[in-house]
Amino acid sequence: MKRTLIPLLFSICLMTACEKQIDIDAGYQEPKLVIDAIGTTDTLLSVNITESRPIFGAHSSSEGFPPVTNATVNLTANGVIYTASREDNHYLFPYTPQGGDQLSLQIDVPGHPSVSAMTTVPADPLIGEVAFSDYDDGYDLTFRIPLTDRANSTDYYLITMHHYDTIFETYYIQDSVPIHDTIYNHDAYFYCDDPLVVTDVSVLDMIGEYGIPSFFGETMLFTDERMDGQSHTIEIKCNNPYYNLPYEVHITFVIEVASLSRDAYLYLKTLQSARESSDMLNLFSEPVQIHSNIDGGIGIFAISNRRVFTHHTDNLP
Amino acid sequence: MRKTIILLLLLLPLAVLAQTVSGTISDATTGETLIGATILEEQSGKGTVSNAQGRFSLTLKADTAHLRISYIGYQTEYHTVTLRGDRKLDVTLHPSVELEEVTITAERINSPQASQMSAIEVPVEQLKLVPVIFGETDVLKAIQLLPGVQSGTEGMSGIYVRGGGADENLFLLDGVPLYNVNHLGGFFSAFNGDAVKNVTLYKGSFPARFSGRISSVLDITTNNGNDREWHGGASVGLMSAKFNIEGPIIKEKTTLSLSLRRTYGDLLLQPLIMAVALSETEGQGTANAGYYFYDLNAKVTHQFNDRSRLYFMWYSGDDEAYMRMRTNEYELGKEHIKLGYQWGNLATSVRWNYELTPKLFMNVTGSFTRYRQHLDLGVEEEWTDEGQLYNEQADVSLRSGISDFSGQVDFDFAPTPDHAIKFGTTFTHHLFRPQVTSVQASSTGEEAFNRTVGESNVSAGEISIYAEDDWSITDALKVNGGLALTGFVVQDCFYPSLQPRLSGRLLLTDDLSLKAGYSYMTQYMHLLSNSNISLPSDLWVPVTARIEPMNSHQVAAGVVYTWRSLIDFSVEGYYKWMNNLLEYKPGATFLGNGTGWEDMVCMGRGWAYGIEFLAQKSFGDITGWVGYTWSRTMRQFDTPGEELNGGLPFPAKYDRIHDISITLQYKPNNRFDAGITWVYSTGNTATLALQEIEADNYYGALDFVESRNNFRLPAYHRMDVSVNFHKQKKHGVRTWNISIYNLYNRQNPFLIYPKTTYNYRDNSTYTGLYQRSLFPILPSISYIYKF
Repeated sequence: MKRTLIPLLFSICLMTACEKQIDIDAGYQEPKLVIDAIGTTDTLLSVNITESRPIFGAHSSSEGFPPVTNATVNLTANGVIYTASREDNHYLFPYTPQGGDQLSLQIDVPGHPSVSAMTTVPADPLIGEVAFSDYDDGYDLTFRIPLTDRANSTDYYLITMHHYDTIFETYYIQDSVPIHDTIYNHDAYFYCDDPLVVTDVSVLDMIGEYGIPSFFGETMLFTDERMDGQSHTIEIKCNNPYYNLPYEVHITFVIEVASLSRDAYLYLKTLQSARESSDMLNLFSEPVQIHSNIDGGIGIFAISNRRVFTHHTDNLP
Repeated sequence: MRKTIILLLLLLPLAVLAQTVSGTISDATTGETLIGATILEEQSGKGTVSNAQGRFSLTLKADTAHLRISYIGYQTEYHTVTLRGDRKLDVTLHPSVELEEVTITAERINSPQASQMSAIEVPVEQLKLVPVIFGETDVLKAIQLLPGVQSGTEGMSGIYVRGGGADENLFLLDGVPLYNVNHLGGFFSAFNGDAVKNVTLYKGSFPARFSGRISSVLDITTNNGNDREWHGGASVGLMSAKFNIEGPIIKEKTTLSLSLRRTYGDLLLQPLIMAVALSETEGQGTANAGYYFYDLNAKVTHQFNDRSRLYFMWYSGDDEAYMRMRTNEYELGKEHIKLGYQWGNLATSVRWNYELTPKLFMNVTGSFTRYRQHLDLGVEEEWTDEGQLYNEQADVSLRSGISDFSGQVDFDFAPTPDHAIKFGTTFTHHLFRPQVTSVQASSTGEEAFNRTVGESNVSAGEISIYAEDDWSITDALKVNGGLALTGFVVQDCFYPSLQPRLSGRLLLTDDLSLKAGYSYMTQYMHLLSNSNISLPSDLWVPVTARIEPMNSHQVAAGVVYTWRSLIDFSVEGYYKWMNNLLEYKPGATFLGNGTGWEDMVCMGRGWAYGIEFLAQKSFGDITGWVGYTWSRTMRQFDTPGEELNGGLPFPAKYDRIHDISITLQYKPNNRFDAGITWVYSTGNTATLALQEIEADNYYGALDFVESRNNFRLPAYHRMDVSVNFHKQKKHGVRTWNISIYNLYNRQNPFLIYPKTTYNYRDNSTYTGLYQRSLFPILPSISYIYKF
């Protein structure tokens, strides 16, 4: 009996290590205004405003982040003041940003302290003509983007890719008319292993298909740290998503190359990291603080100076 | 160096005019040399202490010397020596416990007379009375009870000294560095208490002979072994068994000391795991899994003559967690899954002591130390389909480690009683293997996949040249000053560093002294570890062309007072500045440590300040100490492009403002003793998102972290007790040890996490913050027999 009693007591002691709720002693967290205002140089500037909400405590499951609708939103651009009008769930200025503009944003919402932010629109990215080629009978697609970086400054860039697809497939017949074309808009996941561009890698990338530092995703952020003042052609690759499918598809790839301000770069970068660290694989990742340039609030006010390129390809059965 | 040589030349005439008494102080019953014994000439008041080899050298002008030789726990010896030329005097001291009237005399942690600032003589004998979990005497656990030293998270490795990181401590085992000093995630240390003779911890004002880390030096000397007769001991506890033996291979010439320890929980649980596996697979599967660690300490000492001695030291200690599962099902085929994770140290050295002259003593050491970790994962499946045998297998292995070869020459020179000079040089060749991942896969009928990725080995050379002098300027004023010149060569870069060290003591009365010190330290390697959790997978990496060496400046000042020769009080304040500290960038994960690690870290600075109080009672039936530390530890990473917390200062993870420890031992006689310990510390900090935002329509809510380490965990505290019952048996002494860890079952936080529960009735959610505790109340019993 004694022989079994001691191990049993020991095991019971170990098993009693238990879960316990603890108090949050970080002070009550007042909701803050969250500003999402990354504009582009080819559209009117708009601003989304929501509120943050405490994580801890009771919430209704249907609670989302309702837009703030009673804000007064003013913009000063190169000394000219604009007042935003409310359009659906956002605020819209009658102003399209241009490279070099000096902007300041002021937002007042009853019940909240005023928030403000400043930014300068970055110069446009010096991009040559984007070249395209395909391999493996159209399955592998390659885009070459010639970029000239400005010397003696730290420059921040973004490349994203989408594809708009028109699919000619007969789904059903309505009123004797076949319904056969559907248009989709997808983020395109692309791959890049350019050593001047790709600096952040994880071991999961390393042991993947290619075995060298690489990026795979839909939004690639990078700096000119390894290419300051150089002209360099960045090669990105993706696969034809409809390759070998038995119906006709017209695909338009849209590649966006943009110059960003430092704040915009940090905001998007930390946003990416925050998403990744919420994945199970990154259970032990370092905590991420989302970058903000909003005084008195959270979020971003910045302009992406972008150039957009398109490429059409048809996938025939 | 030039100044040192000039100083030596200036001191030489003084040496010529005087005579020198030199020799060795050792235990009369075991022959074990005694470190730090005091040798005092009573008429002149001049004195010295024995060095790490038990040797002393005292140069006097008098014709006759009246020497008093004393050591805590031993009877004081008096010798009158006539000095006509240099004299040899080997002294053996008798332990005071041989007296009929037992008086506990514990070693003093800090005394007014000692010139060294911020140094702690860890009371090894007292350690054996400190409550211990599973009956394991543990040096590191005891050190964590001293002011200025903090443990990591419970169950996790590392000690944190005066705001430094876990990688900023130099652990020396007989002069050889150990890179990982923990077993079972820090619950046990790598230092087997049975093998340890002397422990000194330096928290600041480091003597010039130590370099390579910026926050602390833990200098551990192991037993040489009894040179007269064979003795030993064995113990069996709930977790581990230990065995040690020591004795003369050649009487009074060659000794052996051997200690072995191994946990055996894996062996005991094996039948249970197998039974579960058989039950779950209906007799078709087998499984074994477990965890164990072991330590082996061995030391052979050979004395050629009075002037020459050779030591060989060996330490190896490994942890291993393993799991193997096999299933053999008729329809599904065979499956074999294996997991093995092994990490540990190996350290070995050969040291030769030689007395060149009675005043000049030399140590020549060659050593090798290695830390490595292996992780192996494998899956193999085999099945038959239409008469065809198919096989698929995949293996992943991760390897990393560090190994050092060192050569070292040290000299002790005592030209006059007022000077104890040490000088020497060390060269170390480091080989870093940051991490290599190998993947092998094969499948019947397909080409095998075999790829190894990771960084190639990095070689580096480290050199250190030092000189220091423990100088009694007057009877009241004593300083220990020195200079270390170090350099590190890696990737065609050379990082030199000139490091001044100074520590002084002003004796106001025999019982009261003021102390102050300054030190500058440089460190050429980093331990990459995740801020959330510390694992054996943490990697040692060198400084590189991009990553500069860490350095620290530290100033400290304090007062030491002894009340009626009964209780020592000390108060010490410090301020430390640290540069080039490393942290992972936001979002980086330890999974990616192995490759491109320089891109995943950012460099910043830190500072720490605090005040430490200690009261120690060393005499009587009841002994012990009370320590309290008030401290702050901050970090700032504001290099453009590498900011953490937006470049603003933030508290370090182990910024614990209050730290209290109370340790009491009671020993009324030789048959019974008891101990009790209570510790309290402010909770660690943690980074916690308190709000969530909609930053992206596509992705939905994201956690928003206001600032780094913005949340403080609940305070840590616990009480441990232990009692020992000793009984003299025919061939030795047996001891029953009963210990209770965490007596009042405090649930200290190990892990915190948010958890959301759904209420489907009103379609609402509730998110709370929860903690997991690791160790509840843990009673243990162990049996020890010493012969």
